[in-house]
Amino acid sequence: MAIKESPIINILTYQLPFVLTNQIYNEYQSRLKEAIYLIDNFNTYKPLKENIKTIELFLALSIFHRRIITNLDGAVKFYETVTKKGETDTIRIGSYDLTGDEKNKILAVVINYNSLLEKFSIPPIIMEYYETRELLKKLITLKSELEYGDNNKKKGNENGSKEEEFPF
Amino acid sequence: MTCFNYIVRFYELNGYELIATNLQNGIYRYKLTPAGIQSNFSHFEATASKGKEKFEIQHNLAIQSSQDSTLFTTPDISIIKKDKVQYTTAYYDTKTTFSFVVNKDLMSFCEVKQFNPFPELLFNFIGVLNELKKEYMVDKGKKLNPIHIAPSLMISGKPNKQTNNIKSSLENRYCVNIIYDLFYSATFTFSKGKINDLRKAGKKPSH
Repeated sequence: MAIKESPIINILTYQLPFVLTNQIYNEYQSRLKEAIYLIDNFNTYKPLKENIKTIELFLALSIFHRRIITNLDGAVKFYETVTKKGETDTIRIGSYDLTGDEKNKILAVVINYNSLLEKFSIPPIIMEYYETRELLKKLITLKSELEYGDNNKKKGNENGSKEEEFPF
Repeated sequence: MTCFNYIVRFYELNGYELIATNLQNGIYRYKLTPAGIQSNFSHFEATASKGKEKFEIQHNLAIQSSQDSTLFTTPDISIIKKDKVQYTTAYYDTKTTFSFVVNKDLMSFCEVKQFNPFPELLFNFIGVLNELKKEYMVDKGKKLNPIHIAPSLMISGKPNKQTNNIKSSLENRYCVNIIYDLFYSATFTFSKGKINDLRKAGKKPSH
């Protein structure tokens, strides 16, 4: 019996507030539909035909990056400005207090997130796109770079040391 | 919050001294919406290094229209003269206190949008500019000393060809800054080396 996998977008939005989850989910669904249409109908994007699962991952990750991580990063920077320029260690935003401890937790999330990107060799520039087709073009470039790199490695590394596999 | 941080940075890089002020019991209270009495929230005070003129960088503060003194609108960030926020209970039928600044005390303002840019959003900003700084519509803005940032629209999303064309056209017609892609390129836009490329309040650069 096949194990049922949770869609990546559900994993990334788990326990986020509904309004935010809804925005992320809607953007993801709309862009995924567009990506599949482009791949099915235009030769330019055909190289990604076998990588729909990977596209889902990058799409979900990039939307999460823009809607969550960048805002958290902004909060950390603002906290640093306020505490540097004022005699305070807390910012009250509505009923939420952004304290030094909270700021450190948020900073840890941002640092961990960036470490993960680095670990899996995901260049942050992948997250920068306006239209879905721009993301697809970046993924085609990344794919060819990785394949070309892999070929070079195979030629140059006769010991065959085990590398972390990229999901292409 | 990120944009507010960038505006604070703009003033800092242009020689102002900045302090976070009007703390509430030692806490910086961030004003999230136009509702609420302004004195209950914190803001930044910017002191020009020359002349010691003081200004406030406020968020979500109502500003009087430059076209009709009975009208108000609330830009996301406003730079005003120090201690010029006024209060009235006559504005709302409910007698709720309304915080505002008269138009002559407004130095500049910024609108912030967490969207991808699209034409209507960009043209709406010119409507706000027309209301708050009518002199900018005919390029009669006063060059200010000490300097202030020109009215600016800051948008988080990335532009496409069409919205880039609109930005060029609007910046060609009016002394404004339209800044796209805040989460990536804004670090560069508000960096020490590039800060002078941002337009200052006054007239648009002559060609």
